[in-house]
Amino acid sequence: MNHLLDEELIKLVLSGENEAFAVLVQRYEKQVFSLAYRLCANYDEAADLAQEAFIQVYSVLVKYEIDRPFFPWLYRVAYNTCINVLRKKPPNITNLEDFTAVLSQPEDDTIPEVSYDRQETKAFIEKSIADLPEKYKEPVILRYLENLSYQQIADRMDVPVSTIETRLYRGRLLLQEKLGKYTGKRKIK
Amino acid sequence: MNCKTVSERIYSFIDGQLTEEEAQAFLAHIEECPSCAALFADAQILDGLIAETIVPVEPPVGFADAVMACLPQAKIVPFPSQKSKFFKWGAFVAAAAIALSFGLTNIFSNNAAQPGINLAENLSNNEQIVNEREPGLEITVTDPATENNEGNTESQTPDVVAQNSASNKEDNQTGSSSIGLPKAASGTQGVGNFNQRLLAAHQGVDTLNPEVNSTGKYVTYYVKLDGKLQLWQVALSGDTEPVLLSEEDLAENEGLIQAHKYGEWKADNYDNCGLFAAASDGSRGAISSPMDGGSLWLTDANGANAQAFYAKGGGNIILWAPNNGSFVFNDNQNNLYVAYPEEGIVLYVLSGNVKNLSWADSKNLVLEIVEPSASNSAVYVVTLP
Repeated sequence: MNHLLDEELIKLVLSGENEAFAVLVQRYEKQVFSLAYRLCANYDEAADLAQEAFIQVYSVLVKYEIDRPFFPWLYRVAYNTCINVLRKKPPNITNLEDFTAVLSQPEDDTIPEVSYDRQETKAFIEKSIADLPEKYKEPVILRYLENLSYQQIADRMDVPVSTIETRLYRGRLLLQEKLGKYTGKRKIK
Repeated sequence: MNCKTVSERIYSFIDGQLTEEEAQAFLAHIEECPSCAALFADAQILDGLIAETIVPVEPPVGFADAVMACLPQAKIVPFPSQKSKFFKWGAFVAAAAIALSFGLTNIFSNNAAQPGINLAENLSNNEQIVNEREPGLEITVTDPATENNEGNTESQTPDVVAQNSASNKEDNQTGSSSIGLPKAASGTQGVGNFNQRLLAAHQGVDTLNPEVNSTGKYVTYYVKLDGKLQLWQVALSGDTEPVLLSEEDLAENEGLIQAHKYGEWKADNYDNCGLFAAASDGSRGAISSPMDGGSLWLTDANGANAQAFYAKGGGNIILWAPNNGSFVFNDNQNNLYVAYPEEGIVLYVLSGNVKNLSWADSKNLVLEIVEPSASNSAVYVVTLP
């Protein structure tokens, strides 16, 4: 069944062969999981989100229009599912400020804790991305994770290209403010 | 390019989204402007940082198996509840025309592409706001069977239909089947609005006998699947997805599924015949007749003294509401209506192959709509004015 096209697998699923859905899950689990992880910056939570996303995809599979590319549709359903779940979450007690202590420590390769600090730093950057406002977060993720052009992102999000350019610009300005320690203190006005 | 343009398009350059001409102008400015060059350097660092961070992540081992273990049971395709969408009457005419012109069979025939969404969206086209009853209000009334055609609408005051009924009374009592029945009573003289919600949809199986259970809050229905008889439950509110309550061997429980009968066939001495049902309080009855291409008659509780009421009917359903203030009936073209004898009005509800139907209460109608060929079916609740 692994050799079948997405559309063929979907027809099988809709005819009652759930095994075909397992093939679709295996085919796209990395992309969906990566998306979920970028949205929440937490591995365990991402597993739950991605699972929820695939269940939702299964539940609304009848709505998929068979003559359109499957992956963008799946990605859209997965993104919306993740965002909806995250919106219902209580506000996260851990916020960016909690990481400032880590960032204020000097980097020094001779200190054993540095490796740990870098992990923390990576977590901080991931969290900074996950904490971006939704309208900036999605294009940033699509740009870097899916390596899409502005036009492709605009098509996916159904907004003008100029809007995508603006959102990517502003989203990265926000990141630059948060991550100034690594990128330099200068700010684009 | 000046400093402002360069700073605004700094990431567009990094992302390779500038035209060659724009890119050259950008670089030319950077070479001459130290402050923009510094911004550019910082932006490049940030870009690298993000690119290093936002990389694909491997899911946990066994992730796909975990997903498959959590899929909804059976071959159910649950739908999110449909939010109410109301159409203004003028828009409804066009929307309903589309729904009718496609017909439910055609809607289902697109199943391979998107059966669920088509079904739900097309049926929701039948939702409408009906005009408030006001003295002398000029309203447009439409025969749903002909509303595709321009010029088939006509205007009446709300009282006209009742007058038509009264004026026909004498003729009806003579038993003539060629009298002019009122045709323009469809759906406009009621008060308020009605809408329909999709509660559940199943593919390749038949949802059977949906009924509101004793709590009044849930609809239960049966599904025959792989030699099993499943009992499902879904909230009448449409706020939850269907839940499988039990699963029994089909062969041993087939008797649980009894086809509903709506009304009884009647033919008597006034040369009319049709499906007859009496209100439970014994106040009156109604006949849905195939005569005259379909007609609806109000009668005494025993079926006598038939009076023409509406120029549609002749289907296989006639069922009084619990409060006996209205009854639902269909014609032989899969159009479903609700009649209000006291008010002298008939509301067009929807077009579709309604297989099973019951009243949740005197305002809410639970119905099963079936695709004849492939057994796809859906359970809806329609809220009437």
